[in-house]
Amino acid sequence: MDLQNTDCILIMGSNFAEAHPVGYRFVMRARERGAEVIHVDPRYTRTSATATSYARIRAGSDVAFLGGLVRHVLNSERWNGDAFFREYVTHYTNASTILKADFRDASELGGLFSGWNEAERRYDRETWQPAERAGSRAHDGGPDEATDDVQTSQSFGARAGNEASETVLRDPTLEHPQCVLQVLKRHFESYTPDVVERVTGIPAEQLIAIGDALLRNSGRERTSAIAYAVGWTQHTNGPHLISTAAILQLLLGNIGRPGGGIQALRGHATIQGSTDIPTLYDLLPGYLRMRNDTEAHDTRRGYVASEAARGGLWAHAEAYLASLLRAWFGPAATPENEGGFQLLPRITGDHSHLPMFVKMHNGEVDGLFLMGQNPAVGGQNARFQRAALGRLKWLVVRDLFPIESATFWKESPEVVSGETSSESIDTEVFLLPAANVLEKEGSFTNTQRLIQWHHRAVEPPGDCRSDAWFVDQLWKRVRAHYAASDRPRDEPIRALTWDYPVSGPHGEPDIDCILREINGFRFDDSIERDWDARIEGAAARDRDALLRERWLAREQLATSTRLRDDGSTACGCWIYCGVHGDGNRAASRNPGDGWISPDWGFAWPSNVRMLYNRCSADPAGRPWSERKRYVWWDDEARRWVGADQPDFPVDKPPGETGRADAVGLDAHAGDAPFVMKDEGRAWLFFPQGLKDAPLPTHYEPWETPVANALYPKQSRNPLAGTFDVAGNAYHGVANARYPHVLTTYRLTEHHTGGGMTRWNTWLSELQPEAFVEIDERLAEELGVTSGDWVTVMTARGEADARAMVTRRLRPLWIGGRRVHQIGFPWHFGYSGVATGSAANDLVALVTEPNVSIHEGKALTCDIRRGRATRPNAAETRA
Amino acid sequence: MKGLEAGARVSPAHAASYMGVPPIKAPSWKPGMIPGYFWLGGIAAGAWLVVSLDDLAGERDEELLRAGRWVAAGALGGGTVLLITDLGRPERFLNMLRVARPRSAMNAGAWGLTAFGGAVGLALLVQVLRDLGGAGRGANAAALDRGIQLLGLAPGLFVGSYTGVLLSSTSVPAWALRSGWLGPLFAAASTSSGIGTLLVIGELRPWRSSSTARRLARAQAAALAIELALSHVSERPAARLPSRSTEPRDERALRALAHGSAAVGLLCALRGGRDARLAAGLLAVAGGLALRFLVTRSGRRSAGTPEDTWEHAR
Amino acid sequence: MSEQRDVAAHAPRAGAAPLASIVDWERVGARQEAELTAGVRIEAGKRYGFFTDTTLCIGCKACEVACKQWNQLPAEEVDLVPLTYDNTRSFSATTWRHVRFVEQLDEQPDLQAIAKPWGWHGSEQWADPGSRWLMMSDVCKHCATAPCMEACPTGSIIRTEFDSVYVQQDICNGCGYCQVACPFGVIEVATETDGKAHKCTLCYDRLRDGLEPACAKSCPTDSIRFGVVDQLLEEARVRVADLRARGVTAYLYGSGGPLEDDCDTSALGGLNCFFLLIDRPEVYNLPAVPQRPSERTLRGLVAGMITALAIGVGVGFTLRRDAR
Repeated sequence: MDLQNTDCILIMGSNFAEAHPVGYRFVMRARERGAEVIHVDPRYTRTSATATSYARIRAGSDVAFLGGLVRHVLNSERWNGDAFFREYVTHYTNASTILKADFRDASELGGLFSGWNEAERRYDRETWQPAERAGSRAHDGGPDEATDDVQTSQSFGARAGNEASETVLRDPTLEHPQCVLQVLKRHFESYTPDVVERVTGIPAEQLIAIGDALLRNSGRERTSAIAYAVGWTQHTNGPHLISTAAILQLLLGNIGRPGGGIQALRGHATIQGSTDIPTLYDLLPGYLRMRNDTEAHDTRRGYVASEAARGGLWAHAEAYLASLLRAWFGPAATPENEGGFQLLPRITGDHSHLPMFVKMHNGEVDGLFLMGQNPAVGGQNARFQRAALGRLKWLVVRDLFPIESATFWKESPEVVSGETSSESIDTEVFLLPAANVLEKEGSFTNTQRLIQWHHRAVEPPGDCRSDAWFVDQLWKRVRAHYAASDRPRDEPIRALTWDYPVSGPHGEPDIDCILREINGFRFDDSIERDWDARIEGAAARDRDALLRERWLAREQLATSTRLRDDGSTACGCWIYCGVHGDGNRAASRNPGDGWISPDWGFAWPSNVRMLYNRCSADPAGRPWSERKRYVWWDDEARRWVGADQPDFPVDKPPGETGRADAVGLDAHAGDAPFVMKDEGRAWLFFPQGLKDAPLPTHYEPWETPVANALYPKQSRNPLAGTFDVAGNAYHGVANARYPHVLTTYRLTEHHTGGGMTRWNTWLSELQPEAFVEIDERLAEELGVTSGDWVTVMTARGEADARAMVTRRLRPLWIGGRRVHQIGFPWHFGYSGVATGSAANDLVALVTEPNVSIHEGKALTCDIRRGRATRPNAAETRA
Repeated sequence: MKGLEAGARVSPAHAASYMGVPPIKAPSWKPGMIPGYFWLGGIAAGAWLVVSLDDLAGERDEELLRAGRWVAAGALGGGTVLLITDLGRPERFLNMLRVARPRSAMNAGAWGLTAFGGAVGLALLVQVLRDLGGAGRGANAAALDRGIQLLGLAPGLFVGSYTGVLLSSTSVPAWALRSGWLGPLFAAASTSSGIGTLLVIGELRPWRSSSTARRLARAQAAALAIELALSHVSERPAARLPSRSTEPRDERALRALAHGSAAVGLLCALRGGRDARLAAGLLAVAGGLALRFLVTRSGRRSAGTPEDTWEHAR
Repeated sequence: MSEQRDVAAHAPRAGAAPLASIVDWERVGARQEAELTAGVRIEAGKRYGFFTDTTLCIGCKACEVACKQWNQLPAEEVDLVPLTYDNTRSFSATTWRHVRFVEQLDEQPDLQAIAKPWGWHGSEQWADPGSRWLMMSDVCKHCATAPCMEACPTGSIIRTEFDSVYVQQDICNGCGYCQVACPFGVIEVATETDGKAHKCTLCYDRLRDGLEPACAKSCPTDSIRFGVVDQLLEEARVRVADLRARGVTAYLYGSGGPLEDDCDTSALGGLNCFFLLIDRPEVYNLPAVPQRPSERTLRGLVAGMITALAIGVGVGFTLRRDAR
């Protein structure tokens, strides 16, 4: 909502208007207030049409472009001439930190950084660390670097390393050659407008014009914003893209200020919620890392040592963990099992989506629950994923309609064409009808961390049930199954609390009670035991009423600062603490001013609408300008005040210095706005966090039509995850057989794999079948006009659809040759009302090293006129 | 235009087409029904008009009057059947009689048709009774006939001409641009095909009075001459429509048939003689049908041509 | 086999939802939903309509879907050559809102010969003659003198207490005359189903219950604004002035008077649903000067009868017996 105040918004890696039309109202509002709206995208879309400027980029070259912007900013007169930028950067970022003398940048080492171990194909991050005063080390026995490269490193600020240490060398003049700002400058020095033009296809003048627009609209009086979506994330260097944007925004002083920031646009109603309280295998609620077999997580002490930081909010990781364990295991969390820690299962490796499906394909997975996902269409290399589903023993699909993942055994192209047969697929598929959003209550957490409650409008029809009902029923059966087991490995199942009352005609669990558990409550052992006794002794028909009564009696916590590590508090997700502090605040509905609207829903944490909003005031606590005033220090009241809840200790004066002996926020100075960070300052250089680079670096996509013009010796991410399995061959770099760039995307009219939309006739008439978008010149070369069938080919397979010949796509001039970009929406599949080839049949299994995201937005392909030789579902329709 | 100053991006008015999608809708009428109704209604009106004027002028020709009444009744009955078939259900016709809306040509037509139908029905009743020997003859009978014919005269004139106005009171460019001409043209065509029908009947079952056929032939010639002239003049306003320049072959054939029938019919009627008169009648009737098909078809195509609407609505 | 969601439930009957009884808002003392969502109180006797600002449209088609959902209009079978993202293409008996996509993209220059940036608007797209993609959510105009209403022979099409033009389904006889009368191609007879004429009702049933029309409510960018026509016109004129000050060639289509030299909707007495456009009307598939067909009716009928009489008299004269 704050986007409406921006003066300039750069939309990149996102088709904002088409994929997020409701949020786009704020962009339009900003535009009508005079903001520049810049869209950078491979395709001219409805976003480009409503933007004030558009630049056409080659898919997969975003870091080069953003790096060019960083370079342009750092070398600009404005940035070097306006004291604002220097003040912001010096105080609020780690720009002044001096790195170790033996750190070497990718520009010196041909695309790799110092510390690269070619034999083990991993980085030793020792040289990426800050230089320290000789002989001192802040806290010995800290994180053990050697262990953290093995698996995931998805750490959200914990294990911050040594940065908080007062022994770290700094140069506030930012002149030291090894200080972060100078390193950054050197790193991006080669990203000149001309090189960027050769890499991205964006003319040098446009890069400069966009850089100037951002500079013009940043500073004390003005702010710029950046918005992105999966067009940035789904790359083998996805985190690099977002990091470059973060660096750009920090340099321009646009973080934590109204109209600034980076907006990660979410593609589903509550995908933010499903990372906060994650559906991810390696995270616990509130971004605590999952207990990991490959790390020092044997004991709770070890876990805390590796996950907690000294400074910032992660200092209290143990309180968050202890409260979570209390919420999960209740009285079963005892000192003997380390407050329940020993009941936590451990992960033993990468169980993210693609590795899981590879295992499934190998016959190593017996069963799968699919709830709200349609991998038979939406999965990368969907054909491979369908084959994997066919090697399960059983598969439970809960969805609104009989989606492709439930019908693959009879309707998939492979079965229809006779390549395989229904008889040869032994998977037993259970299709269970699910209730839709209007038929159940619960909460959504949206892009801006706003938790909003929705009520049930009608009871679900027939046998349709909510997901909560299903999980409740499933769990009760699982628990009964293991009730008599005395095996230690079954102990967590017996110990888990499950005290949600059910009500209504279908016995739906009470979601309000679940929200109360997420919010957190004071846990008093004796009171809880009394309740347990009362409930156990009660007649079966009174149990639900008593369970609810207990929930109402539990004292809800108002804020996460009240969480303790001694088991006296229980909290399902520490960052959500406060959502039910004083009634269900997610359900509050006061429209307010339409900007901050503090009483509309609840934003985590603590109803803060803008994170790090301490940045909206200068180091001395004064607003940077009247126009951009947001949160500031009121010297008389001795507190932070403003439009929003300050994301900062409200009574900490701006001039306070951090105490060396303190932990948590007390260790931070009064001008350290980044409360999640160890030292309270944002990172322009990442000594920790990423496995594959301490600075964002342009690597070409795994399949690319050209070699890397910036680092000719290192075209691609050295740590990208590949899968050497049948049906998943890669094209490599500049493969003449696959000369075109292929990008997949969504349309306004459908949603993801189509499970909610392609069965709806109203949406299906708007986009009735799959199509492939090609530019006019390519169409001419192929002899194709709109409506003709074309077949797109990759090493994974073929997919055909009717061609849409359009001027919205145009070839680019890259590396001395004409490169065509082909667009293929990935919604379609073989079942439903709107059908067509699945674009994801063409996409390879390949992952990014840090977060295992796949690369679906940039690959290479070939195209020809006519139908696919492999018959697909579309043909049976025609 | 004022709002779109020079230098601004403004598209040329006539280059515009939205993927060729017509900005207006073509008629939803079922194929053949409406032109068929126009044609039959026209025959009824034309036959009625001719015999009525003949009768009112004092040239009492009972045989002609009788034939005219039967033709009117038959054609009107047939036409009404076609109209109701197009509407789908008979009772839907009655919906039009719940209001009187002179600004709606369709509503006015419904009332005109009802009035004309009443007069024709009454005339037919009297005729049948007389033929069965029930009704009297002589001066009273002549007065009664005149009264009935006079009663049906205005509605008859209306039914013969309103169908053209019905078309021109739409947003279909090929019809709208010919407003002021389609009514008269249809009136002329109605008259000629009404006379034509009587001519054909007379040649198949010769009139007792030898002059009747000759008189009808003269009238036929006059009506066809007027029709031809109106046909020519009425096409001029619509000639500039882009759809005219892309006229398909079958429509050109239809145009040749309509105009050719009238022209040849005119020659035949002037030539005289039994076969020529028969031919003239047949050609007039066929030409009337071709004309109605031509006009409805060209309108349908015009509605489907965006550039026609740009030409019309500017 | 468990009971499944009924897919066919999305293919309901054509026609408007049954009318609910109007609420006496004064008596119940409640605020209407429209006051919250559109800032307007809906009262009988006032003139309501839409102001559609096409420069704010982002082409999401939420209005099209909201219209079909509220009015329970079945989807159409679409099997078209994919030229643009607009697959519904035009109004129909079951498509009462329709969003047009006008792609105006420059011809592709020869890449090797480019001397200056292309695919780029410069920083001022509005003033730039570069590529653009116009979007417009079109709807029944609810004309002040509505040709469909004038053409209707049954009196089925009426003007409601909200000054909207409404087809009473129980009276319509499906003659189709309104369909050819409409200068905008809005109303259509559902020849395949009930054989009656259908078009936008301005959500008459919602208006009676104090709800703004479904399309306007669903519009995420307020491109479609619902309200009292006079107030909307005022807003629209301010908006036009604002856009012109910014160099945008904006004007109002359907504001009543002959605002522009060759764009004039005054024959229809103004349109309750009017539009802010930035290119010629024809670009949006709208006639520049829509005509009022009924102007030709009375004159035509009288002229027709007089000519018919003249022809008759002339022909009758030739019928006279030979005066030998």
